[in-house]
Amino acid sequence: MSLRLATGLAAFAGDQSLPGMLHVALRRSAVPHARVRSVDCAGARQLPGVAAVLTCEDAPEVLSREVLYVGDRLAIAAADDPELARRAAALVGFELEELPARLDATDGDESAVAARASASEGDVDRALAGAETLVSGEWRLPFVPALSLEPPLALSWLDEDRRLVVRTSAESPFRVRAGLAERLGLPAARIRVVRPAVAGGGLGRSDLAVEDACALVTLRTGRPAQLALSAGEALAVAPGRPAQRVRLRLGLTRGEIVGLEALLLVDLGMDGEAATEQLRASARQALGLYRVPTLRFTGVGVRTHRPPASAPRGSDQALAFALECALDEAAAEAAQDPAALRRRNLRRPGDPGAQALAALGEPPGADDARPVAELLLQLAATRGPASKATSGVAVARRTDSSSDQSGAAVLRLLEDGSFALAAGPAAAGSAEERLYADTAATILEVPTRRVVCSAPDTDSAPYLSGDDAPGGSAAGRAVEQVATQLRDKIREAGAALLGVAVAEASVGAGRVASGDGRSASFAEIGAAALRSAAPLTATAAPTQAKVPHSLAAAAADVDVDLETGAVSILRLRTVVAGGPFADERQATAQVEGGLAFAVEQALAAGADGGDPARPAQSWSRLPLCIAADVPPLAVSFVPGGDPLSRFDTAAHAEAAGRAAVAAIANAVARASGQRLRALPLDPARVLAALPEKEA
Amino acid sequence: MLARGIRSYHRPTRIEEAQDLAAQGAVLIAGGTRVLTSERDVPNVVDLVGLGLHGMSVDDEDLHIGALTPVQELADSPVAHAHTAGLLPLACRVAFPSRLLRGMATIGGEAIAADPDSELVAALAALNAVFLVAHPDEARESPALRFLRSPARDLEGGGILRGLLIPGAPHGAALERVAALPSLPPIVSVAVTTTISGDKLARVRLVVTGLVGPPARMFDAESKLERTAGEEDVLASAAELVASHAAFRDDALASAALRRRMARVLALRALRAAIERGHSRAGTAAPRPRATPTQRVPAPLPNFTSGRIELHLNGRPARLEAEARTTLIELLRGAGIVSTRSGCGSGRCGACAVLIDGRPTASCLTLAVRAQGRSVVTLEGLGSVERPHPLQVAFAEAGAAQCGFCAPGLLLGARAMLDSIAHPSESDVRDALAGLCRCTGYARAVAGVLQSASLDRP
Repeated sequence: MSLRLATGLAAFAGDQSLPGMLHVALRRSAVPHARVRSVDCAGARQLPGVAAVLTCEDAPEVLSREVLYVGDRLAIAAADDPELARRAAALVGFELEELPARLDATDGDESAVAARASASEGDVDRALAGAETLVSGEWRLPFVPALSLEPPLALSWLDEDRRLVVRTSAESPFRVRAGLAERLGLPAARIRVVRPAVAGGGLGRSDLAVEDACALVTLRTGRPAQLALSAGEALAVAPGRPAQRVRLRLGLTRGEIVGLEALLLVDLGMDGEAATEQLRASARQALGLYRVPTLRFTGVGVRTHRPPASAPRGSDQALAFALECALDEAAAEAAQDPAALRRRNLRRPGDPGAQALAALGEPPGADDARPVAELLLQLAATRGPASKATSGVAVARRTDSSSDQSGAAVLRLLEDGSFALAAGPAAAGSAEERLYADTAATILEVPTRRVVCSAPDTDSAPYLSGDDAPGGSAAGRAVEQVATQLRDKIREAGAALLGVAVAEASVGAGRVASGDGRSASFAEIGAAALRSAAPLTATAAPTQAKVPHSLAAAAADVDVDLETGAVSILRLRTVVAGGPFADERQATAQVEGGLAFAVEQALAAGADGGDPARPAQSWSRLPLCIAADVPPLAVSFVPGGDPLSRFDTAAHAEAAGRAAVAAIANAVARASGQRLRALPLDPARVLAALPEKEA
Repeated sequence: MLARGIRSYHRPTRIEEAQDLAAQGAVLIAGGTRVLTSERDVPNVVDLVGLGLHGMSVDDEDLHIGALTPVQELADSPVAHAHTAGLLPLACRVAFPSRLLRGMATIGGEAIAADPDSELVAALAALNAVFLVAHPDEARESPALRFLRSPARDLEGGGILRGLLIPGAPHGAALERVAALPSLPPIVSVAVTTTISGDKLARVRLVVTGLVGPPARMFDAESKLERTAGEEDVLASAAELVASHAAFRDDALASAALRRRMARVLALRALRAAIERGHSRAGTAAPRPRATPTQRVPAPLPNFTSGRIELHLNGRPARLEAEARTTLIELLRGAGIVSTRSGCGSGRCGACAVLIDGRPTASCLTLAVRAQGRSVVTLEGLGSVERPHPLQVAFAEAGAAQCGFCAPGLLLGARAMLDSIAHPSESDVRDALAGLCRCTGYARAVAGVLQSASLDRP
């Protein structure tokens, strides 16, 4: 955290307000599926101070006649004050025709299937039939809302050219602009989207939760407008880790995997976007780690009348989780060390199964899991002194996307010797911007504060992230390239200014030195360059065909109270393949965040079952870790992972967190003697699996 | 979310005025955390903070606690610890894991809410608390048994809870709970107090949470135990009575049958611990003495609908316009204080945290008018980039946060703690970080505060 953040200076979307600004409120559906028969806005429009009331009758571009989940939008109201806007929205009369709602993704209704993915290789039935050890079962993960502390917020206005400007808390400004252009029927050039700091934990939202409604009010009224969701409203429609189920059969012979059959079912909610890729990614996260000679994978994404589920974290987690648990079970059954069993089965280039992986979108050469062996060895070394704890271990891999990633950066030397940097696309706001500034500053050998990394703005950002693949690593590489290029250019310009050959000039401490004791400061060089109309600028836009990925191993030391079902995590340890980093504390802190998140996911998130028809609206009992909930954490890095992953610290956090969730489940299984295959491992679920002792 | 539609705010200093207003249907506010998170329409509110119902005293073996005493003060009180065999401070801590809510909520408000899962309510029942209710015509004393079953009935017709008495100290006490995470409400909890006479149990109180209604005493189990020496078989049959007689709740978190199973185990453990402590007179570790900011009783403010609020904002006098319904966060953001941000709306995340007279407070759950005449410190007031507070430097150097949204709660919570404890332990620090960080695992923040504390006070 920079001093800027510690003193409250970071600017988030809600930190700006404009004179004459309208406040916008949404009316949301209380039923999961219905058609609007008729609308009565008369009462709402009559309230003094109400500037606009919009429904599917006057704003079909944004509001549909059919609502598809509890919390779907029915009306937009704008007024001088937020409470008045809420009252107006509540006053709109609706006659709704309720329609049948699908709330269970497992009902087998083919018409609800929105995505499919499959892959196979070899004769899996035969392999499993002949396997020495066979583990089979169904694993389940519940829906878990992905919550940022910053509720979705948009501010919109028309600039002096009547162009629409939107300030958003969503992650990707370009994606917001593309969505707005499509929905509002405007050319993208007539829209500018600005994205200041975003709060986060890598949970930045990517959908148009508020931007379209807010912008529409501005377009209709000509006035600035702000739409800020309340915390409860944000929770009720929050995306999250979708509910997922995996039916799996895993066969091993003499400690080697011989076959795997997996059926994955994902409850997409009212979402179909990128669902096929989500299913394929789920398979890749698991299969990229191990040598699986025979395979049959089927993934099905089902649309239900629940809020759109997809979230950056955990949507492709289930298959890898199930496989990590099944491997642990197989190791226990064969009385083998679970880490040794994994080491023996790690994927190497050229192993069988490559065809199936390629069909699932794995880029060539990415499926090399050999570094995991070193992670597991290092992890064993972090084991503490013997205690009553039972340990569990697991590994995880995280790749962002199967598509190419591109990033870009522009770096300029200014007349005062400071640097202006624009780079992206960045995920999760200020953390990446800081990282880019640090990276450039290190190469240029100047203090980080001399490099100002600007917030993303579609008017000036040098990149495009329309497909929303977080390209943090491509952007990071672009920053390295521009900093290196600009350093060379400064050296040349400095040499010219000092009248010496470039070979004689050296760069350091914010100056170019001639070798004969004379030197020119970056400020002098920058000012001279600008005066001669040859500004010192560097641009780079590398594309990566190879997707960076993170590999992590984790161990959990737990204690299970066999009489109450309560699980205590005494320590979480992880070793991640990555680094060296520009700022290792930042990377460590982020991985620690992934582990805290794992504690919630493993022990508590979704324990109440989450009534799909009535989403939670209050934060008061949400299982979110406070400082006192987090056990001691040990995080270490082993260099030698994918070198590109040094800019993707969020992916490291995700990999470590996923490994930790499975490690906790494996530890609980060993401590309790019960293989619980559904998360979370809350006391009631654990106790229900334990035999009752006679009183 | 702020309770809707507050139109008038009254801050009486005489209890009769409060009784009148309550009898007319105005809603009473003590800490304010429950009223201001409800979705109720609350046109008129009466703030009890001017009645001077704050503080603790021991009188003739009785511990008297004012209804408006913040839960945090009880959690930190060596007196409350000594007088309850450690039970009350412990219950305060586990029932309010959030530092912000613990500092704002009051013992009276918590008792009146009588939440079925509150270990604090269970502790009050196990301590035989007597509730002192001032009615317009008379002062009434209502035993826990009656009051906690239906506080609204005892307060009907303008009754004001002035405070409560905890008569005589038990010799031993214990609290056992089961929850998915330490900071979550318990699925089941059991509070036990014991009074020992010779080698016999003279009195046992056993209270269970996780029931269909508020926490309740288990009379059968208590009588089974009293006048015995607390032999293992007696404890086992008492625990069995708890499991078989209590009306456990069936909900999405656990079935009644599972709660019963947990309760049997917890009852047995709590009884063993409370009896052992009763014999040895050794309680849990007492809270360390802390410097507590003084609580000033504010001046009366009859019928405030809108007007000027005068306060000390980050060390400077400020005059700001507010309506009765304006929250402190709205007041501050309107005055250009943007570090104070709206997050969870429930007092947990700390993004809106400020210090009021040195106490960490969720400004989104505080009416602006409550800041009248007080000192309010925000993150901007802690220090600036040019002149940062040592804690801010330590946070920045430790890499304590990634996005900074939660910084107010973590930093101001740490600041308040460092003002009251000279040499904090790691658990003091974890407890003080008032909020939720969704980016990191708190380890850097804890390290930053500990480092700052050691630099401050070598």
